[in-house]
Order: sequence, then C-alpha cells, then structure tokens
Amino acid sequence: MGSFLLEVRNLTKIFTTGFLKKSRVVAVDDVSFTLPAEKPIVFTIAGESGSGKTTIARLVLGFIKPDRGSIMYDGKDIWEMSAEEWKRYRREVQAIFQDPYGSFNPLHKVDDVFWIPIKRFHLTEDREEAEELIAKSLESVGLRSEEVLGKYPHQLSGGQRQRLMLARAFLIRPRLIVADEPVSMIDASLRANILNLMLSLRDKLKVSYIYITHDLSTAHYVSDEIMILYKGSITEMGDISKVISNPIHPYVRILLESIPIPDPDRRWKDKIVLPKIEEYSGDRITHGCKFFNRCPVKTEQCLKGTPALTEVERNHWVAFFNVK
Amino acid sequence: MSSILRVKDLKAYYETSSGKVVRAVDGVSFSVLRNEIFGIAGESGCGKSTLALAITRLLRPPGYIADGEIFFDNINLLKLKSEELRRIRWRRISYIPQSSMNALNPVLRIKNQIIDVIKEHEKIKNEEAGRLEGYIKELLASVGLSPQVANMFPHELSGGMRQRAIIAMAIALRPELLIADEPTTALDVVVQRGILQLLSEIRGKYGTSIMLITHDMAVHAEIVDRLAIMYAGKIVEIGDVRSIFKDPLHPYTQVLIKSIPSVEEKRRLAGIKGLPPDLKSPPPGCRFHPRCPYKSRLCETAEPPLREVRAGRYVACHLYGGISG
Repeated sequence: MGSFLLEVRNLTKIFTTGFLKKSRVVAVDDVSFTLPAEKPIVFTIAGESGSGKTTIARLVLGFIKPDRGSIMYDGKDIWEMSAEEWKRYRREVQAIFQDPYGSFNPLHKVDDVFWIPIKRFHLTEDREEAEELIAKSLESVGLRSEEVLGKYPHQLSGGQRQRLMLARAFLIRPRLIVADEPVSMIDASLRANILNLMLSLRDKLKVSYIYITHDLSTAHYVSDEIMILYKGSITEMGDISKVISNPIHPYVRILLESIPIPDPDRRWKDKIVLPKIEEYSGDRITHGCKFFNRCPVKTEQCLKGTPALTEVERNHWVAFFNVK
Repeated sequence: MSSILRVKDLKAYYETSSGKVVRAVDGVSFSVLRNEIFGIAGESGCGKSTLALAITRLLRPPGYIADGEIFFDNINLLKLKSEELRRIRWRRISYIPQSSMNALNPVLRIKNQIIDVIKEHEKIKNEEAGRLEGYIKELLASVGLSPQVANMFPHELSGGMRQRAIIAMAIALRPELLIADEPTTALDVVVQRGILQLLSEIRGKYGTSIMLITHDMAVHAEIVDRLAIMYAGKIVEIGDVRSIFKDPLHPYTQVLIKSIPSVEEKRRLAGIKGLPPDLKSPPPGCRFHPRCPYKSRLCETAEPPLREVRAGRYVACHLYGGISG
C-alpha cells in the first residue's frame, strides 16, 4: 500500500467531559480519507466550529491518540513508528496554524523559527550555507531578509508572520503541510498572496496540504479535493469542483447557499430560520443521521441507521439516504 | 431622504508612549440616511472600529477625538455632557461592539441583563415588572429566540444565540441608529446568514438605521444600501453598493473586490503588494500611492480630497475629476 502519502482509516476520537467524565462527545466519528503519493494535492477539511476538523489535524500531527482507527504515513501507522521513523515524520509533516503569532516565542527573535529546525533536523552544519538557505526560503515567500530577520514577532504584521511560517516550511521541505485556518486572520488583499503562495509551493516543491477551514470560498480557490464534516462525520467528499457545483447532501447545500455572494444583484432570496433554542443532549441523535434535527428533507428512515458514503459520480461521495 | 447621522472631517487619534500620534481616523466625512443600512468596509487597522468608538463617544485614552463634528439628528454629539449622552445611548443610538457576544455577564440570566439595560434608561415601576417580562419574551421572539432563553445563562447558548440576545438587547429601547461592529465575524456561515437577515428585518420592521462595520465585502454585498471604503484612516470611496461592486472607482476598492474568492468561479485572485502604512507616519499625498498601480507624481505629494464625481459617488483619487490643488 505504498500508493498513499497519507491514509486515514476509520478515525474516531471521543472526548469525555463533565463530572465523572459522564458526557461523551464523539469529535471525530469513523472518518476515512487518503492523500495520493504520486502527486501533491490540497485536501480541504471543511466544517463549522465543533465539526471535528481541528481534532483531525491534531490527530494527524500526532498530538493526540485516536480511540479507534489508524493514520498511515507512507504505509506505516504513525503510532507504531520507531524513533527514527517518527523523527522523519515530524520533519516531513509540518503544521501552520491560524494565529501565526502563537507559533513564535515572543521573547525570541523570529530567526529562531529557522535556526531551531536547521539544528534539529541537521539540515546543514555550515553557518554560511544555513544563512543562504534561510535567505532563499524567505525569498520564496516574498520576504526580504532585512525586513524580518533580527526582529521580534510583535514587530511584524500578521501577513508577514504567516509568510514566515511558510518560509520555514519551505526550508524544512516537508511533503505534507497541515494548515489549520492559515488565512482566516489575514486581510483579503494579503490573503490572496498567501493562498497563491501555497499553490506555488505545491507545484514547485511538490508539497501536499491538508487545508482546514470553515471558508468554502478559499477552499474552492486552493483545493483539489474536499471533505465536509458535520458533527464529526463526513457528509460529502471528493473532487472540489464536483462537490461545489453539484452538492447533494442537504447540509452541504444549506452551507453553500449561506455563503454571501459578492454581488449585490444576487442577494439571498429566501429566508433562513435559525433554531429557537439550543439542541440539548437529550435530543441528541444517537442513532441515525446526525443532521436529522436540521434537515429539510428528512424521512423516518433517517433515524434507523447511519447513512453510508456512496459514490454518486466519479470521485464524489455522499453520506445521504436519498441519493437518487 | 434625510440623514440620521452626519460626520464631518472627524479625526480620532491615539497618543503612544513614544509621543507619536497614531492617526487612526483622519478627516472622515459621511452621512447615514434614515432607514438605511450603511456599510463601512476596510481591512484591519484602517480605523473602522475607532470610527465607531468615536461616534458613540466611547473612545478612551490614549484615544481622543482631535477634531471634527458628529451630528445625530442635528444634535452635536461632541458637545454633549455625559448625562445627556447617557439619555441618547441605547434609547436612540445602540452600539454592538466587536465580540460583544462574549461580553455578556456570565452569572446573570439573559432576561436580567436586558432588564438592566431597560431600567437604566426608562423609569419602570415595580408593578410593571411583570409586563417587562412579557416584553422581553416578545423581544426574544423578534430575534428568533425561544421565550425559554430569557431564563438561561450565557454559557447555555451557542455563539449565534448569544449574538441574537445581544441584538435583542440593542433594540430593546427601539433606537433610531444601530452601530454594529463585525457582528457576524466569529460565526458559522449559516448562523451569519441568519443574523444578517435579522438585521435587515429590524430595519424593515422598526425603520432603524444601521451602520454595519465589517471587513467582509461579501457581507456588504448581501445587505447594505450604501458603502464606504476606508483605507489607512481615510474614506477613499462612498457610493451605493451596487455601483461600487459593478464599477469600483478607487484603485484600492478595485483590488479589494478582485481579492474576494468566490465559490462560483475559480479565477486567479489578485493581492496587493506591500502593506498598509504605519499610521504614526503615513506617506505624504495619497496614502495608497506606495501600493497603487496607477500612481503619478501628483499622488506622492497632493492628498486627493473626497469628491462627488457622479451623483452619489464619492471618491478620493486623482484619477477622477481632474487635477485640483
């Protein structure tokens, strides 16, 4: 099974909270997906807050252990890796987070984000060569060394900090970058630059991405494939243009219809009704489709079991009972 | 249509410890009409939140209003004493600050928080307390919340519900003007849509004028009537939202619109080179000139005034309306 860069099978993570750990939340519920080894792609995991998308990122990065299921990198379960393999994994799989500020030590100059991995991964032992590597990676993200080096994180803008993290990724030359909402705190005019940069790193350096976002518009811009989660379960996944142009799951349809369109001549025509009161754990669906309470096309059948993922067209999967 | 709010050449600055002054809002003029949703767009640091704080007179040191006039229904807000201001706030002007849904008092039930606002501004006799409870339920219903929510605590509500409770509070005394700063920014898209539709409904039902501040251009496209674009402490363009999107005049507005990704078409997005200026020492001339693709010599020295170049279209750019000194 060497044909996948990353192969996630039946991934499940349950969090227990509350007094005596009585309340259980299935944050990630039997999720499977793969990233191909032969060509780099941007794979988006999209969903609302609480959909489990960040939990999947943390699982893939090995920050937390799954309760069920496996994450295979290059055919090897990340929880069964030797120390050597794990070190390689930590080098080849890098993370970028929403708030780049949190990725820096505020008391240290930003140069550290380069020097630490250079030492840790023994990228080079030669100082001059290292400096050249740093300069090159800064150049690749459109930053000039003199603009950023020797400065403290607070002296840089959010866009500069996020580009620094991409430069760091460039330096380490990972095969996979897990990017959790990397542009949601960045202004629109600079966001385009960062997204374009992600794409050029994909093409030039053959880096794959897991792009985690709530924003389907940026997802559409950068992704090859998408997986849309609802309460920890996959609702729809596959080729991004197919999912966006031909959404089938009622949740995905509502989601897409709710994205404001930047055209004043095409405003929303119908009105959406938000729930009058929170769904309580008492009403929580334990059997059947999790979207039942909010679903406009539900039937009795939807409570009987969990809808399985069905392929409706080539590389377009939906977990919905009423697929025609 | 008459205006409810007129802002003239407003300057709101911040004093920094080094003695330099940050000119966050630097000579801004516009009006909000009655029964209108007026949008303010711009990116972080352009001064849009400071503008809201200045209008509501909530700007606190080191911030201060350096100059200008703010007329609300012909009352000069900058001349009011604090007691006179208190009588206007909530009753005539309501303000929903950014992230206010996280600022509800965690130990008070929703109804008590709304009652506090009402009692602070209206004389309510004890025997009317029952009637007040009824009003609160009606108010919650108007923002699509169940009457049960009145007895709940903030932590029992989702972000979208808390934001609706905040809106209920803001409209409790039927203000004529509602100023909302990024009211949907942290919310999921479906909830965002619900909240935006609620704001439109409030305008329709009560005739409330709304000043909506958000960086999200697509949100403006959905609900505002007229739009002002801010850049580096200045308004660079004002117009009705349709013509701004169809035919943006200011080069900054043009890039801002080109940088919005769409779920409908995959076209290459344009970003802007460089960064917005440091407002402690903004560039001379037009503040956008270091990043502008069309800049000329004039732009480096002369600041373009905001001029009406067509009916209802104002733009601050030397490309339009010829050369003026």
